[in-house]
Amino acid sequence: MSRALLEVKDLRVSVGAGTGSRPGEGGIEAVHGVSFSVGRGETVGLVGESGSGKTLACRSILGVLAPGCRIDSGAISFDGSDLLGLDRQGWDGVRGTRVAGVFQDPASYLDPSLTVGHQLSEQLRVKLGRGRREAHAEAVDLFAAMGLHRPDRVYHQYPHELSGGMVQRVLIAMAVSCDPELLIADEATTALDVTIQAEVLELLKKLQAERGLSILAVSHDLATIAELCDRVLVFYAGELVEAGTTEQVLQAPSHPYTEALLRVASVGNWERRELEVIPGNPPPVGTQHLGCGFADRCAFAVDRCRDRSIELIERAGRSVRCVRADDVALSGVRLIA
Amino acid sequence: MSDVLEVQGLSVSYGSHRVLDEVSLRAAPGEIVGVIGETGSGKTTLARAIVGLAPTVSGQIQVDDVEVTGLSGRARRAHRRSGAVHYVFQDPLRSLDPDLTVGEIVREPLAIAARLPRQEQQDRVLGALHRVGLPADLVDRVPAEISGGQRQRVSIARAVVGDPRLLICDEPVSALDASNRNHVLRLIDELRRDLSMAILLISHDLSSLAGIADRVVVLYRGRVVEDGPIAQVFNEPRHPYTALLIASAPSVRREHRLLPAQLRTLTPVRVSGGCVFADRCRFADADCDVQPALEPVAPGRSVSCHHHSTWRESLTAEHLSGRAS
Repeated sequence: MSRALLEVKDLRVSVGAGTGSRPGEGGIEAVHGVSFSVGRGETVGLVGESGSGKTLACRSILGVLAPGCRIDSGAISFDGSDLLGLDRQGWDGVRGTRVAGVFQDPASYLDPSLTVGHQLSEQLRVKLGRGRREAHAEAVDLFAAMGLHRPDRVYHQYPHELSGGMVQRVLIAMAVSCDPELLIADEATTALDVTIQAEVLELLKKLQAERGLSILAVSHDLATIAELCDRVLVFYAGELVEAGTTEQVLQAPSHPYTEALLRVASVGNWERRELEVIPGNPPPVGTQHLGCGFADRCAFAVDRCRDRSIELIERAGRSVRCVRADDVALSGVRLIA
Repeated sequence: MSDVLEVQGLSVSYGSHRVLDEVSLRAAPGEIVGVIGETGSGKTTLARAIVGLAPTVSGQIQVDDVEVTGLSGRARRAHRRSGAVHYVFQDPLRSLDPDLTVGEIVREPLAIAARLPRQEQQDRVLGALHRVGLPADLVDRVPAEISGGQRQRVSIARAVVGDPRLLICDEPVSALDASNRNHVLRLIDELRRDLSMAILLISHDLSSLAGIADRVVVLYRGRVVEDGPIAQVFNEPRHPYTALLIASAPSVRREHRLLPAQLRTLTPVRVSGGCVFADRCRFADADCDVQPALEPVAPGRSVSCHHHSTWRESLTAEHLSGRAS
């Protein structure tokens, strides 16, 4: 296989660092050395609870960490070149043109006082040097390709005149307008109605197939990731605990946390029953733990889960961070093709 | 046992915009009724109308045999303050007063509803916190100091401290992740069992009703398009919109028998005055220019669709001839 498009190596990110007179000082580590890659044309899903570090990881890739967050060490390479060493001008050549993002609250990424068409064609003119007329025509075509009805009319509408699903389609149009190689979708369908969510997921799959786009999708909902992605990365407490193809992870999870996530995910069973829960809470962000961060919530935990640091074991194309991966029997779901 | 909540032919308008149209539903003690619908379906307006916060055009709302729509002024205030109906909102951070401690937040409804000795109020507050699984030492914290899951439990403790007859939960778990969601849903299930209150569980997300709701009411643009026992409705939907909702819900089993694309219309057309779903419905024809009534199709089940017994057949025929996309 050729070199991966995106390669993240041993990424460590801290939060809560000083922003005022002591910029970048202090803080606690929230992402503890995460490594993963995304191949060309591949759709990879990051799944985990709030605070698991999945959003910090993908914001690091886009170079848009919030103030107070800091990358301590590690490397992020995109198409062979290092992203972490980029200056502002360097980022201009990557962000928006080669790597783009869509997020949970699309309306907050648009200027409410400009029409959505204006905002898209402005991007086409600045980033691709299109002329006014050309940009207008291209924007209308892009809106049509995103499945927006009457794109010529949508062009002249303001964000508040559009529904949540339409605004997200506009944002996806802006994200793919410069034909990026990688699209990062952070909870991009979480706030949408189910029928619209299904349409947006279909749109992402279509873009992936037609443009050969790679997608890194982030969600707390395993079901959404399962619908969209070829490969799944499970995050827990700032660490990668399991990775594998979607089929492997769903049918035969090898980390107890993944199994727990599957049990609480929606499985289309409508009969009255006692709902499954994961006991306890994830450790607070930034907790340093020797051993497994999930041990206190895990039904299979033994002494050796707590008294040594646990490595990610790679084997047969998948990886798992669990000392008991070989001797506990976990159950997955039966996929119905 | 008679129903705690009975809504008959309820219509609500904001100006000329009809938000709810002839909505009927009922809930018995110890029963959880799910209300499902997308943005703009009127589900929140329905909840607001039941507590007397929405302008009712016609119809009746009875809570514990008290007619709510006719109440005005003092009588309505007395009804609200009686604590018979309580409301849990989606976003606990915005619905809890940031300056009050957890103890004060939970005590407030008691102070309004009943004149109880201070000690008894304190006992009931601690009892309510215990019931929702929160430690007693949380009473002196403010909402910003506790987690999202704990905040939603505080909202629920406040709602049940006065033993309401009817609890309305408007998207109670939408802001929570899967594990926390199930914790809160289990709690709601315990409340209906132990306190035998009727619960209206409003959501846009089918998985928030799974495992705990007894019946479901599907709202679309202000009208009930289908209702019935939840397992029957979701396993064998009779309305094309319900079928679309189920086909669209993501699942870890990739189990859908129907794909959303098979249920979407290829040529959306605006129909005015007809069936509310006609412009998005793949099976709409000339019959659908007339609004179908909500009619019983099986014991406890009603559907509002002219083609409820035939659309599945046309789908299969289409599928076989290879025209389905």
